[in-house]
Amino acid sequence: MLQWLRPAEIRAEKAAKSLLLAAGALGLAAAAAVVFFIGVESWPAWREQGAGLILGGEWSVGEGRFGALPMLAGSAVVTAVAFAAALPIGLSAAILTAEFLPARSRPLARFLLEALAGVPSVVYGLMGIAVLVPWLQRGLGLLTGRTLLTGGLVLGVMILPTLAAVAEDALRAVAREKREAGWALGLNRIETLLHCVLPEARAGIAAAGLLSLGRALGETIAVMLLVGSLDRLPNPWYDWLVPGQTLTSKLGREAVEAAVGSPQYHALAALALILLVVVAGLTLLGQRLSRVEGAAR
Amino acid sequence: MPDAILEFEGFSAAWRGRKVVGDVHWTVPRRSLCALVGPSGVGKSTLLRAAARLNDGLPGWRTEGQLRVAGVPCADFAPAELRRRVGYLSQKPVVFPRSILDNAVFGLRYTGRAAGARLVDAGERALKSARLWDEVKDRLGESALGLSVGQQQRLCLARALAVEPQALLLDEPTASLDAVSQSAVEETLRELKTRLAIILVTHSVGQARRLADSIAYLHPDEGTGRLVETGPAAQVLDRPADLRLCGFLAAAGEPSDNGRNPMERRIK
Amino acid sequence: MRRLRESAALAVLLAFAAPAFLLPPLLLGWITLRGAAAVDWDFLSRASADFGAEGGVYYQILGTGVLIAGAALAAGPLAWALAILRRVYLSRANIRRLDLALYVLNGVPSIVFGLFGYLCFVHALGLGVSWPTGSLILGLMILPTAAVAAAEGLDAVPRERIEAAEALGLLPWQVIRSVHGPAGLPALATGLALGLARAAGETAPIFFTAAVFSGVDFPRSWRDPVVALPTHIFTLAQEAADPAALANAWGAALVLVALIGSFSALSWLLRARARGAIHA
Repeated sequence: MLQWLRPAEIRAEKAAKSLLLAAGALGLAAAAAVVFFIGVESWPAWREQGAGLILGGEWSVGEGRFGALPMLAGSAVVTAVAFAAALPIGLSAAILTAEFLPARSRPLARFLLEALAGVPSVVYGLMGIAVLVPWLQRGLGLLTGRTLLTGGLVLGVMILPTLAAVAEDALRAVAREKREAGWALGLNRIETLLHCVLPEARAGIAAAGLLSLGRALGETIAVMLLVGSLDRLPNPWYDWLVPGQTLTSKLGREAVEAAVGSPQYHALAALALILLVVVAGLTLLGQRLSRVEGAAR
Repeated sequence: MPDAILEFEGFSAAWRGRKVVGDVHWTVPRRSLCALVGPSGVGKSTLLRAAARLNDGLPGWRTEGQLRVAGVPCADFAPAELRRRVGYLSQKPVVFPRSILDNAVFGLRYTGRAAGARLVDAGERALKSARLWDEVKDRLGESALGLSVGQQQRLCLARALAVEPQALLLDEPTASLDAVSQSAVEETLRELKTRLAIILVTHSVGQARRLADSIAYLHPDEGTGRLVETGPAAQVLDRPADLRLCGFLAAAGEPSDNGRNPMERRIK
Repeated sequence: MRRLRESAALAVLLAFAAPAFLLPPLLLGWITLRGAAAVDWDFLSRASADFGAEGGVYYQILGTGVLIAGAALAAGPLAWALAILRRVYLSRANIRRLDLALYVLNGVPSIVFGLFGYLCFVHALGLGVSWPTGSLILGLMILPTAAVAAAEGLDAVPRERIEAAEALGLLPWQVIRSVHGPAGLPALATGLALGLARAAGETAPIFFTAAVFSGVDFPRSWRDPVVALPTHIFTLAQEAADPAALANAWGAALVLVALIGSFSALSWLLRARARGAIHA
């Protein structure tokens, strides 16, 4: 009579299961740790200043006053510029690739669209510094070419691949029948696109937008190199050809300077928390939207 | 050691609220082959899978009643334990993307029952039992995916035999095979039933007649499969007690023993 | 009239879409052009000197290599374990929780990772500014990518194969060793290659936690920082006025882009092979 389950096997099974569960716990803990650490370290700043942290217009280490408004404004401007630049281009490219290009050229088109996705932000920063900054400075007679606009434009190029690729996926996911319904009604390609395809792909395109938005907000290095690193609110609000500061560039510049445990340190952690919450939120929302669309299929 | 290997007692299985098989009372003696027959979709495969507890993880799956293996209730075993006593073969051969020998000894190797030279010997024995050895002995190291369907099914049989079960559950093993492979498998089964208890699900009454010592008939009763007749093969096939079984046999085009179809035999 | 509108619309589309197709070759070409002027064998094999204005990027390449090798070691086994756990042991509810944790991790901006690493690893855990700190942070960054890729590889294993192994009486752990594990590894490799491509170019997570600008060559102990390509480029870029520094920055940039490109190509290759392995 053979032994059916040997003790050694049972031990191995239990050990393996415990190890795997520990790994799972570690994964969950890591995600929680990031949020927790940043949150906890920022608490003193929230307690000290409350809403003043967000609404205050002045960031002064010497006086112990930390207002994030210039950074929030800077992030908003830079992101808006990037999005405004990338959206029409990316969406048009996506539409062209998904709807009008012959199937044979699609792999090449996708390759071109996504080729820049792997370029690291520091290289974008370098390109901006070497080319765009002097060009804007000389061309527009500015004091410095490092402005919010510069950062925004380069950021736009950075988010373009993601935007175009995800949008194109969303368009291709629209079932063939929707297009055929349009053609059967005598609509031409543009009309089919507008009335049959785009409405269907709405969620996926929104997802593309949200993901790119999240990426733009979270981008640090390129922005740090190009935006001027000056804590100031654009005045008037539409004058973006001036240096400014974003949440990310502020963090990048001052994170090492702050002594651990000082008020400045807690305030920086608060900036990181704001950034974390907004970007994670946008990314989650974007991911959920693109999954809902897939599930509804 | 009790004589019966597999005993179903009031066994029912339900999935998502619908009773798939109901109130099965059945005893399968050791060292015999019992054919499980019935119309398509009645639940024969389900009953087999339930016996091997393969559906345990499925959400919405419930079983009632008792299933005993060698006198011990199934529920008392860990599923892995049960499956080492009771082997299962699915309808379509499922072969691992590895060499032929690795497939044959798969169960032995990963449960740690044998290693090295003993593993190779066990593999050889199993492949011989399944009547596949001569065809593959020169290419044991080649991928099993290169075998024909008939050979793959025999490989799966060898794999199941290698772990030396007390019983075998076979779900239409020859359904997708050509005539030559089919007769090879039937040869093997004829020899195996002298050593193991075997439940053979088959849609071919002819196969049942050729191989079975006893026959069990599952009949659809408003979506639930019920075991309405069991008994020695000759008796059940030639003089079925249940009218519904008659109908099934007639529909299956059972050749009669004296020119009369089963319905006629019954009426007489 | 409609036809005219259609042509006009198409023209507009084309005009707007053009930059998306033209910028990539333009920019990549520009990098190659400027970078090639500085890159030669000397550049690749010599240490940097005079604060980067002279010399090469030999140790920077090694430093980046050390960081991403460490990241692979940190993330790989954990990602594999998470994928297996998810497939074999977790309930639906727990799968959702794990997925949420991974998505959150994936959405964290790189500077926040850097800050977290600084707070947690450099100070709280006392690891100091060192290459293990950098590898841990980078590993954390690429964990979601690797884990999701491995999970997809596992999901591709046909249900019947798993059942066939179970039907032979294998315990869950044995099924993992024999069926799931081998299936998940190629997918994990793909995910890691993808993640490492990204990690190699990251500056923010390492520039105050693992990398310094000068004064180090090859790390000799657990507590040594490294010099790395991204931080090198970053610092040189800030001295853009100095043409020598700028030239070297372009050279380093070309090397970095080439490195990332090869990892991306590797992940592409691995993905094609992984797909083949499942359906073998």
